[in-house]
Amino acid sequence: MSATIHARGLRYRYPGGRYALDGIDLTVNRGERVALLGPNGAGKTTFMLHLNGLLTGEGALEVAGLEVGKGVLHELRARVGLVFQDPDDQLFMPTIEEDVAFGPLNLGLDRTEVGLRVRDALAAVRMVNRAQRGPHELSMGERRRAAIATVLAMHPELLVLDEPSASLDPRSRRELVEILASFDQTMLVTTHDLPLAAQLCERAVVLSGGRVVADGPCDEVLADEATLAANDLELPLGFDLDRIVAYHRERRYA
Amino acid sequence: MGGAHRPGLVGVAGDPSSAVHALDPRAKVVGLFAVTLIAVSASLEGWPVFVACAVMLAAVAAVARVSPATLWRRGLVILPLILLVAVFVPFLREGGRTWEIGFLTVSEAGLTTFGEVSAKAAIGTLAAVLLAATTSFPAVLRGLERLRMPRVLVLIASLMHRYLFVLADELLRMRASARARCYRPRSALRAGALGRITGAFLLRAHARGERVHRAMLARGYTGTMPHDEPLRLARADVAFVACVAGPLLALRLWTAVAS
Repeated sequence: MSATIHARGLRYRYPGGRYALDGIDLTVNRGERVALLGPNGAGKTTFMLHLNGLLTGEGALEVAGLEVGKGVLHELRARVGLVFQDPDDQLFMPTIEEDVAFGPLNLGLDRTEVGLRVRDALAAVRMVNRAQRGPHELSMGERRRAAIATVLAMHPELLVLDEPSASLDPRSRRELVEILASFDQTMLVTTHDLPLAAQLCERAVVLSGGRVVADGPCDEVLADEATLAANDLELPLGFDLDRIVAYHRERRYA
Repeated sequence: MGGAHRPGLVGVAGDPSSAVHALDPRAKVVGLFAVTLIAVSASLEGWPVFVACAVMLAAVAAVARVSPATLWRRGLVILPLILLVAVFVPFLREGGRTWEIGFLTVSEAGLTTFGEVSAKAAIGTLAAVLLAATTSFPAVLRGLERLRMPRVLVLIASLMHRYLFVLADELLRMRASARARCYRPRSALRAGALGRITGAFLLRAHARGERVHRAMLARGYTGTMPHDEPLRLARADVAFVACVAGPLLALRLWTAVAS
């Protein structure tokens, strides 16, 4: 079975509210990088929380080979790495090293293995020299990278990132894109940053009102001005989509 | 970067490679806490104990190369609050001889209590400041955990330390935004906005707590913190506790027997 996410008719309603997810049908194959786009309130974050069993709705949802339900939560959370938008929510231990070790220790791994995983995860996000720092001593870009390391250390099959480029300066953003592009996990990226989506993901899915309203190759979805406009999405003025397309083509045939 | 994070007042100070900095956090917690306890148990008649405690702390500070200026600056954060309470004692307490200063009456018993409280407060504060200057907060927490402090309390202390700065930043931002719109409360009537800022701050702190908990669950948290690597006591650690607490304890017992 090669699908990492397989959702059929997924619906979820917050207590006393309307349906935040209103019948999501989505299949993401192993190794794919998918951008999840849509205006605020489209249901992106709600969907993301379902992938880790933090919310459970009606309908069928299979993630990383597991039917999402109460009995498999521990295993599911080991296979799905969720990176939240605000790194201050994710980093709560006194030092980055301890924070990165938190997930693997919860998995019950032995000390040597945890040590190796922490080292590798920090190396993957270029944060080895910051291991002993506290989160409050780091810049926003560094905290974002540390937050990614905390889930990388759990060796997830699926990496889910919520607005990874939010409030980053251009250099931190570029470094982050480089780092994310070096990963080979299946990746679902929720974002308003369309250039980031174009650069990182080969496929884009647009959510609106809790439904999938567009799904296709990223460059095609981003070139579809009518769909973008209907969903409050805009490419930055002067953004050259063709350059990104050419960049991807080069990478594909490199 | 935390705007509330004032350099010089928190974190490790002195020479990070000193013998004191390198000790096991448990040794420093036990050793310095022992100094405080011995000082607290002494009375003004046994004043040499206070002097000995102060000298001992000064010696530890000298080995760790923590400057008197640092100790003074950091001590000033805590000490005035304690002394503020004690400063009324000479005027309120009765007993022994009395002196008139204007319309106030000072009693001998009151002065004695004030002297004792001040000495104990100063030594306790100095010991705490020294611990904080020679041991990182995470290390202190690990030390406390190994000393069998309940894990829940250690977790609470750790989260408080982590989010104090985040929340303080949030509060500063809200205050800045109010000021940026010319908010300068001159009378109680205009203080309403402060109440709303406080309310918004509490709601945000609560929402933050929920998000942190969710992020912990997402990484497999099941309600207990995973164990981290064990600490090992070395000979130097035992020697430190013995050298710091031993002579003071002996002196304290000797003054107790002598009186």
